[in-house]
Amino acid sequence: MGTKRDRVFMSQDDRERYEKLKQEAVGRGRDSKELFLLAVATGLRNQVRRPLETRHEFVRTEYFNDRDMALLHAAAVSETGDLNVIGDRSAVLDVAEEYAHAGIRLLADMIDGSPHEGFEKAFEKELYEAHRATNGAE
Amino acid sequence: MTDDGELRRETLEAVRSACASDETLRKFLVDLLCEEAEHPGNWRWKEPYTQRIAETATEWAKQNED
Amino acid sequence: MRIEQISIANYRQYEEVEIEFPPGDAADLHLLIGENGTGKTNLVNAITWCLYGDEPHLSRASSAVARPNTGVVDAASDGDRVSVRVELVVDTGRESPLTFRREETYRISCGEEGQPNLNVPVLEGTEFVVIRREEGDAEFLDGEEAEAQVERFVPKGIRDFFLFDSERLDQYFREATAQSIRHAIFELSRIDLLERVSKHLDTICTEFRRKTRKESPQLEEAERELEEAEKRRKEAVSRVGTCRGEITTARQKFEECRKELEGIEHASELERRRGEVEATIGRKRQAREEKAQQKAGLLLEHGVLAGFLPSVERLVRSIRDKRDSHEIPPAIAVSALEESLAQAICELCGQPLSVEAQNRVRSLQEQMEISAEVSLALLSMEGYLSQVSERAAGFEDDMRRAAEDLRDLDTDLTELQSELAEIDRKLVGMDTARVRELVRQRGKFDNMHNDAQQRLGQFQVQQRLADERLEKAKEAYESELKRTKKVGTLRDQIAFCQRAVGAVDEAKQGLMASTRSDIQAGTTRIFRDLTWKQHTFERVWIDEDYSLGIVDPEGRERLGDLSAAERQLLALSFTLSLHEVSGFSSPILVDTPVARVTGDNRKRFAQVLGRLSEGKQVVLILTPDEYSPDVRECLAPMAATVRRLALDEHERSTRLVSMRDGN
Repeated sequence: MGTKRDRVFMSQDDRERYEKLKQEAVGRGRDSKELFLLAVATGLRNQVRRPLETRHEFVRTEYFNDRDMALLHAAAVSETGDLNVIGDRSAVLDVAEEYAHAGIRLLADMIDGSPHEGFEKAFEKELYEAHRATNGAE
Repeated sequence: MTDDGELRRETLEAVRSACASDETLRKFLVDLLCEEAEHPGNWRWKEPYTQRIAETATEWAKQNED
Repeated sequence: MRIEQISIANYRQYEEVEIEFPPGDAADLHLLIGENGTGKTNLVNAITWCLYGDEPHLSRASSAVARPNTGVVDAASDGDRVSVRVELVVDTGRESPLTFRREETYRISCGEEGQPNLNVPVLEGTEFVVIRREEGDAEFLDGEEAEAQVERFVPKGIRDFFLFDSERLDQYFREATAQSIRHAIFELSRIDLLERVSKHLDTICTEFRRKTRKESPQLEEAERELEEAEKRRKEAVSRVGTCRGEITTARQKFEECRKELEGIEHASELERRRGEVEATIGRKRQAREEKAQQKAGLLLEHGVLAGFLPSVERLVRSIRDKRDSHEIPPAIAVSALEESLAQAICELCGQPLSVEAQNRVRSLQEQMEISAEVSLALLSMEGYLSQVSERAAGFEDDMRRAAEDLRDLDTDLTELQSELAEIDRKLVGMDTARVRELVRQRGKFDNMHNDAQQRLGQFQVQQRLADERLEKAKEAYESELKRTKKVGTLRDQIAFCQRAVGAVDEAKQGLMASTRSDIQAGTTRIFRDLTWKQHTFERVWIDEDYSLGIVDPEGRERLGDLSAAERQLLALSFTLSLHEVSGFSSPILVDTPVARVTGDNRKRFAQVLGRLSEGKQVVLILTPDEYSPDVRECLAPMAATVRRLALDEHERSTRLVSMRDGN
């Protein structure tokens, strides 16, 4: 079994991006874990992952519940093609971190790039497009 | 507008109307009104009144006996 | 009758002033113009003080100051005497005029305790005389004789109809009660002589009756009962009268409140509604905020689900595939492998395990432990992962529902804001504190009215009972009188007196009714003649209860609808009608006559007063503001005199300045 990691990391410049996200309605009042998962999901949705340039402590893994872990496992399995990656927590979290690192940048860019309609509207629009793409594909 | 010793015409008319055909009564009242008009303010009225009543009442009672 | 001259010495602002009022050719109009503080109102006070000994128009500031002119007082030495004097010379239409003179003498005291440097006037004496000069002789009347002359000039009881200011006019019909109109008509009817006769006859009658008491016990009892019944009836009548007055007053006050509230009545209702709307807006805003947060929460949730969805779906498919192929859960029990290694004997077949076999088992064990843990994990997450698709599929519905809810709330908020704006628009300019006070007062007067109505009913019953008792007592007494032979002469005298009192009372009522009718007709005629709205008002009426009203051609009561100017005009018409009916040709003196009238109505009112002066003496005391170009244009050409009141350089004394050459 892999060693048990007790936290996920982020890159230093991501701190400011998460702060920016917290100012938005979507992020207001949310904890770091929820924002981390959103960042992971955004990276996944756009199929972009980036290695961390620096490693700063972010979220303790004890805050992830079984459902959160199920999602992270799914992402890791999908990325590696190996079901057994589920047994390697470190590998699962590495995948998540890199997707999150890319994802938070995308989110921050969306915040900066939507002064008129607002981030929330732009984000909702993107989700609609993704949803339709998924349903259309089905 | 009244002056000393004069009564208003309207007052005399009102008395005449109220006394109807009772001439004794009318004269009696006009007499008293003249006395009052001549004596504005406080004056010794009781004697003149009592005297006139005494002079007139019996005759009036006889005239008005039913 | 007209005032020829007013002489004032040391009265308030007037140190030494003589004002003459020569009649004009066409009109007997006299104008006095002065700023506030120059002594306009104190000129009226001077006249009323001279005639009646009081100063009803005194301002609060003046009432705190003694009557003698302060300049004269301050210039005097200790022990000096200062005389305050006002003299009115009145043309009565006879050969020689009457002079009304009132004089007060003051001793100046200097160095009073606590006020060492202040001269204080101390009143020493007052004198009021009326001087009648005929054929070179002067007759001095004082006391009651002097007062009788005043009563013939301008009776005190109705002086407010001869010497008044515009405020009095304006308020007259606000406060006019049946009682005050009755009082004016009573005074004018000159039934004072009849009143005296009635009172004296009544007194004598009572004395005659009391004399009969000693003739027999029954007579005494009957007479006492009669006297008591009369007393009770008088009290009952008085109570009914007072109560009626209270009802009228309460009704008038109620109407005033109601009238003022009309048009702003909704303010209280609007305020209440405003509060409700504000509270609802607050709740809606909070609901909207919560809904917006919910929507943001949904976006976050779906944002996460949308990202993970493809991975989740793939994993779910893998899990199903592994289960279908029985790879999960694993077929071999881990414990069997552990036991086999421990014993070096295969748990399945019981054969000893070679080294190679043990290594294979060990490798199998390792694969299976990882796989078992993973397989357990996969199985445990399968349930939740299977729901993710379904949850993610609900994104559009969730968003649509959230958007609809937000839209509904936004619509509600917009409507409420509109309603609030509309309420505020209506409330602007409303003095809601005044509204609350008016509503409170209206309620109070309504209660007073209802309360008085109830009491009136009771009092009327009591009066009826008192009437019945009195009738019975009268019958009983007269019956007893007839029976008692000894009282023969007294009986006749009593009967005669009673009949005489009855006739006098009847004459009084007749005169009052006649006067009332004449004043009603006169007021209507004068008002219609003077009003600028010829077709709006038909008739003024004064009913038997002495309530005053005015009706339009359709017979609708319109007193409450009169504007301020019309109300003053009605009051003036009533006043002039009183003059006519009374036969008094006394002058009218009006302080600030058009102050309460605005715009074009000022000129109209001035025209009315100007026309009035063609038939009687009219003295108008105006402020410069009132004496505007419009008013001046109307009055100046017909005025016999136009003068200005001005304070001297020390501002202690008023003087007169002619505003016209030759006057």
